[in-house]
Amino acid sequence: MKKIRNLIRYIIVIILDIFMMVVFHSYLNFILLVGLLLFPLYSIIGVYQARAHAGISISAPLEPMVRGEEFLVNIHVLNDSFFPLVNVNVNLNVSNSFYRFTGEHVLNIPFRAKHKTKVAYPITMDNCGRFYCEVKTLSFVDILGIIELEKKVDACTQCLVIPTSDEMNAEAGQIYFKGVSEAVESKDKGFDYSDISGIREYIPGDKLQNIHWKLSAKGDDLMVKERVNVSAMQLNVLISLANNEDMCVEGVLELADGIMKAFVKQNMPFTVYYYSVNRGELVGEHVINDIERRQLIEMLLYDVCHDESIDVEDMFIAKHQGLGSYLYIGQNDGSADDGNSIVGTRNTVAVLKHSGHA
Amino acid sequence: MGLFRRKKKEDVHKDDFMMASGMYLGKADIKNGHIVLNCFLRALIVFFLVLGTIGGFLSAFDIPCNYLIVISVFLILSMYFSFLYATTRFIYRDLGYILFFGLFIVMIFVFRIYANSGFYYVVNKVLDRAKTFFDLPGVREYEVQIGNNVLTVSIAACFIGMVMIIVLNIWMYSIMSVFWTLLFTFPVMFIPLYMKMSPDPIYMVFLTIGYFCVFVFRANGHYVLFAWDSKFKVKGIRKKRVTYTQDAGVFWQLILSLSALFLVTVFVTSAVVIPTEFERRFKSDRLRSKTSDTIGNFLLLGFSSFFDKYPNTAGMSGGKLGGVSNVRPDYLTDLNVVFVPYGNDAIYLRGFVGGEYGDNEWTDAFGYENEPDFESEFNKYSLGQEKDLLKNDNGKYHAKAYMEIRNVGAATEYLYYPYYTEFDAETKKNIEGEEETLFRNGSTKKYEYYPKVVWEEELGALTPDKIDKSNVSGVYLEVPDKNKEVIDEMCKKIGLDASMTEYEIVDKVRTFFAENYPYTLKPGVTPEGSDFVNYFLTKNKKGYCAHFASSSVLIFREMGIPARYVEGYAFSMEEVFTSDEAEGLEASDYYSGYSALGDAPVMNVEVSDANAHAWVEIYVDGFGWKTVEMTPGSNEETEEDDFWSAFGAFMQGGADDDGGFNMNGLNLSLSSLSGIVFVIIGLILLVVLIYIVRIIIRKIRRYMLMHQTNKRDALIARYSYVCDLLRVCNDDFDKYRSHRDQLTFMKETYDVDMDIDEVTELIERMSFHDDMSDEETFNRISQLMHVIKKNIKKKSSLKNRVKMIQK
Repeated sequence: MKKIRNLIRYIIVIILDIFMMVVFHSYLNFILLVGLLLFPLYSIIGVYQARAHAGISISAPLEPMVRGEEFLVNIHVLNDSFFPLVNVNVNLNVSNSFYRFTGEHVLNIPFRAKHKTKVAYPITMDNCGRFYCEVKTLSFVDILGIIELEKKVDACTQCLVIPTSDEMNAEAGQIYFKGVSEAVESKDKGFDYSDISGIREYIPGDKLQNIHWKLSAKGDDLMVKERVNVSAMQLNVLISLANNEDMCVEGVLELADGIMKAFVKQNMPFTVYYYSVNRGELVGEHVINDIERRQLIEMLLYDVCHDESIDVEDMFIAKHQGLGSYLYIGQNDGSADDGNSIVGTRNTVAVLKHSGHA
Repeated sequence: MGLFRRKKKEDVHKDDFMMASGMYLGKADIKNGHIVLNCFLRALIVFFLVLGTIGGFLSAFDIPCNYLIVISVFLILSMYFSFLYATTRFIYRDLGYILFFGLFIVMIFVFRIYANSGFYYVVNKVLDRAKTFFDLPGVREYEVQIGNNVLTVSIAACFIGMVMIIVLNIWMYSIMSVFWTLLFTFPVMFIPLYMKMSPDPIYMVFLTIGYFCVFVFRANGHYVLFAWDSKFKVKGIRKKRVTYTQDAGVFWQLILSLSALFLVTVFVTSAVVIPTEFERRFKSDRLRSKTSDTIGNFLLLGFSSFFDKYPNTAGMSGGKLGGVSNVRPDYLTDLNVVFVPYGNDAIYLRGFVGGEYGDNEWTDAFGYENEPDFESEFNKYSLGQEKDLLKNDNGKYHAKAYMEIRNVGAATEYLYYPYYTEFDAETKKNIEGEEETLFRNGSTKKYEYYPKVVWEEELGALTPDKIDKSNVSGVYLEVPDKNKEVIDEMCKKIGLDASMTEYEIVDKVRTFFAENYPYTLKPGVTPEGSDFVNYFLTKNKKGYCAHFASSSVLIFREMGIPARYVEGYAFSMEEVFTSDEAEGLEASDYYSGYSALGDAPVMNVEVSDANAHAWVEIYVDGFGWKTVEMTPGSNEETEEDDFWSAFGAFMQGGADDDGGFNMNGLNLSLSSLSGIVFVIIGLILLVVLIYIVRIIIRKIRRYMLMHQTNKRDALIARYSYVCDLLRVCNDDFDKYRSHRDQLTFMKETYDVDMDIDEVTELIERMSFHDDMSDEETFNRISQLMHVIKKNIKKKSSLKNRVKMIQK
């Protein structure tokens, strides 16, 4: 509509100029008429040139950011032509892949000739997850404001936003020892040792120590060693990533992060189980140090939370019936007693449970 | 407690833009150049526009000026007003304006004589050029008190520039309106352009760059600039756009590129099409010639030249003179004339005969003959003696004819009859009865008349002193004292003397007028206090039939020829022959006797108001009164009398007579469109006016309701107003039926601090019980409604705010 309005306005100016030229026999209006006829040409050439010489890059912090903390996404748009434009629209799609929250909007910027326009986008996320931002198209409006051209681009960036949590050393330690004493150790495997059960492609979040460097060097993709990992002295932790309207999974992540930090600080190895929507199965990861703990959190956030219809406890019990006690971190159903549980925010709880004996 | 209260989630992200659920964008940052640079660039546009306009105007008229002073003042003022927007608070900007206005008053007081002198000098220069261009008899010259024209013009230019800078600056920062910018600057250039004066190209380049910049920023936005603006704003109904506010860099580059583009355009165009060649392409200047009279009249007489003292369509004026600025015939049929043509001369139908001239009016000649009774008075007045002479003539040129005249739309207080008519008793009775209406619209009269087809050579061959005037009233030889001097001078100027015969005098005067006094339908009104004939003969020197006929009558009288002024309708034989034949009528029933045309059919001629005419009757010895035509031929094509018609004709190839500027391809006929366009514009304006009046009435009613003495009703009116505003912004507001729901909605949506329970109770009490004696409660709820109203307006989109105005 605005473009049509601009066009009509321009045509009216041309008509007025012709009118005055005819009425006054005015040479001035004749020159103005030439200018008025050339100007759209300049404007159109300008917008085509600017589009042809445009480029975009986006960057977000490489390090994971903490929930609620502001981080900058830098958007750089280059105009390598000699034609300035007043309006260039960057069509941005943003999402939190963990929650599958998406949004789109247009960033309108000036487009100076031979210049890189830099926009710093301060972003704050109220939820944990993977912030993902991509630009598929740029649109360029000519300086007369009557035509708009699009250019397809492919620029994206991402940043992990992790939970903030307090370390719960005392409560976590107590629970750990209760849970471990009742745990069933594997008799076939040695202490703190893991066997390689297969090789697969790298999935973001995989531990670096599992990368099969030799094999990776031969091909284009990173390959990782899949391990069958059973510790002699460990606690099994089952995290439910089921979300509800109250965003309880935020509480679960916060509680799990706090407990895991405490375990790692007190050198207590543990195995974390969760349901991976990406893989479609229950996944177990062994954690013995802080690096592995962070990698595990990142793996969780690269995945997607699921709805309450998926009961991870049932899956876990069905798959690992002989494992004995496990620490369930999820929504509080009210069954937890004071001695065996830690209460988190958003109606969540970490509670020691039994999977039953074979 | 409030100190430790945790911020709510929506408070934390109050100023942020939610990009997706749980994802907020704070204040985005961009290096957009310093505000001062931005203001400087904006000041440049204002400077270009003002310098281009004033410099262009002065240079066009070759008016000397100290451009160093003018440019410095314009630049400083443009910067000053622009930088007021770089201050961090509104108050500083307002103080800046107040400070300047104070200074302005002091300066205008100190330099008033210089400014006046400069302004008058410019006006004198313009009028001087206008005098030459419009061929005006004389224009007023204003007294210049100070002789240093360069200085005074510079000071005057600075003062005019100041006003332009202030106004343009405000527009640049608020609406960047192309329309207002053009309207405020370019019309000044009309004056030199119309008078074929060319402004210096450099000022035109400035002006044009200014226009282009305004256009580009208007088309693209990002022109509203305040120092307190953030770098980005979130816009759009669904807030889908994060848009930057302004950028000095792109502004600067655009000004540079537009300047370069236009400079190249000017140089290349000037090299390809030389200005003198361009002018030569226009072979005719009909548009200027069509409007020059009106503009010349305006310069001479001011706005009074536009106003007519009585209706300005053509037709009978009843002897009233000088009150019409422009005659605009409506071309509707006034009379329908059925007769048999008999010669090549024009047919005159008498309507009004003027005897005595004075106070810009001819008085009706009826009654001047001093005859003893009506019958003989009327006989003389209506040329009965001449008719009798022709009726009784048994020579070979004798003829008897009948003419049927139907009054379609002509004035009803006159009879319209052919020369040498024999009136019937009924008509005479009507006239004697002094009825106002002599010839009703729609009625038809049939006259028997005796045309004089051939005029003998001896008629009019006497010198005036030898004419037997015993049968003529002395009134027809009177020249008023105030015209005497002018008429005497004119007689000398024309070269008349007593030895000339009547015909020679008539011919001489006619030729003189034809050569020196152009015919125009737009002569302008006669100035208040001026005599119509004197003004025409000595100053205006252009006019239409009434001017020529009136002046000729007085000249003839001065020369001793009895003469009188006649109004009526006249049509040429050309018009007769292009008319339809009257079917079913026998020529023999309408004409018998000698005819210069032989056997002619009965013709039905439609006579329009454009045929209304004034002519002269002179008395010739040996016969009596006869008509003489003193109005020169018109060069004006009446179809193109109005400007749009002329322009339309031009666009259709009017200028292409000699292979010149051909615009035939456009095939524009603005003349045919202009009427429709005016009607449409008129209708639109009417609708808008009705709409505005309705809104005003509604507002007044609402105001009266809200401020009535009954506090309960006043409060209900206020509550209902708030609800109406909410309905505008929220489609689903109507689903809230109870007061509680409505108030809860208001509280949640518009962040109003109120106790729902308490306010609900108060409003319900007020609505359902007549309980509003408490002044404090009334004030509290009124205040609350006011706050809600303010919040609604604050949070509404522009579209909704416009809708709210109607409430």
